[in-house]
Amino acid sequence: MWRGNEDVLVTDLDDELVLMHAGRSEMFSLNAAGRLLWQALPASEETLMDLLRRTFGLGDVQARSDVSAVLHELVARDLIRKG
Amino acid sequence: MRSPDPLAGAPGDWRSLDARVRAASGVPGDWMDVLRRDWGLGCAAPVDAGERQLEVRVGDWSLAPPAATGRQVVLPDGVARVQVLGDELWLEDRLHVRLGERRSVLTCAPQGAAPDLWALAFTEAHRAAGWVPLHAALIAGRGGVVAITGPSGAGKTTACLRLRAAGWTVLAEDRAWIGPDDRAAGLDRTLRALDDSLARFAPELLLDGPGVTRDARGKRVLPLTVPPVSLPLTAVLLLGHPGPLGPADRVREFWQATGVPMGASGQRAVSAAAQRLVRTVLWRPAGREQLLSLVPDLLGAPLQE
Repeated sequence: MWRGNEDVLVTDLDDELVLMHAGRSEMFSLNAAGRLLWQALPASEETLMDLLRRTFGLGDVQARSDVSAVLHELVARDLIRKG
Repeated sequence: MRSPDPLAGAPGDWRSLDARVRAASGVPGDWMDVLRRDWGLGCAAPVDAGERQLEVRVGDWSLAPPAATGRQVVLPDGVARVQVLGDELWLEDRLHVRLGERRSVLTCAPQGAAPDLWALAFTEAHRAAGWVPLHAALIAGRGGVVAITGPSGAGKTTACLRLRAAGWTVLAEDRAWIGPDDRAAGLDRTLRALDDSLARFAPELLLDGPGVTRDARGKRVLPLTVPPVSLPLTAVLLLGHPGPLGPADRVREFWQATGVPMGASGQRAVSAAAQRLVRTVLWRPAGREQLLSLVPDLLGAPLQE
């Protein structure tokens, strides 16, 4: 299960999301698809893939690739944690 | 029947933004004099027993528990080691702060604390109540207040001098605060300017004589008298920004100008302010030379004509 880091401050701009890591003072923007995934947290990778499939009509391969890419970016910036 | 609040309007209480500041017994008077100079708001509004409180105490406190998160905070005079757990802060071994939206308690070790640490404590206490500090100059007119921000050296002080010379009211040189109701207040009591800027834009302030002081950079320190006005922030002008400013850029500039709160209440409150201010206030890049025409467009007429 993936969860948002509690140390992240979120500004929702409707079609994008800006995340501020309070401990690092680093910012990261998410586009509409990333915003959708963030707002679904906490969630499993499978749940997130299903969300992209249903929302954007993506195939399995594309949904897996997109979710994986977003999670990779968020983990690298300590914005989400698994557990 | 309730007993009257023994603290209401106590002699020696003073205001900092919308909070009543009081000293508990045993706090040295000279500490409070320095804090009042740095953090007292110049307006003479009466103290209200129902308003927010900041209480300053002297004494000891328990060590931070293992669950507290350690941080290094860069301050003007060095780096401070801070531990945070929710709304409790330990600033070095000198200050302990318990934050609350309506009441914050700042406890200082008997040996005292450096001004930078007190500044951190007061800033966090105000943030917990929804106040947003901005590293910006504030200019007031009949239509409200504009904040002028940008990196150091971008021209905020020169802008203050030029706009002041044109009749506009300077509320702050760089210590701007935006309240939970989006009203702007300044906490600067001085304006620091180089002599060549003064020679160009405010030559009447160049008079030498007793009492003239300069800061470490050689800037002349001039008294700044702030009128007791309460006006809403209407625009943020960004000096040196290449533009254009999309919504995410406005959020970035907001955090750049305010910094990140450490306490949990402050984080919630300032995040909410970010969400609000990037939508309700005009954010736009501005060149130094544009300010003299932009400010009248945004604020109408000066407060006093």
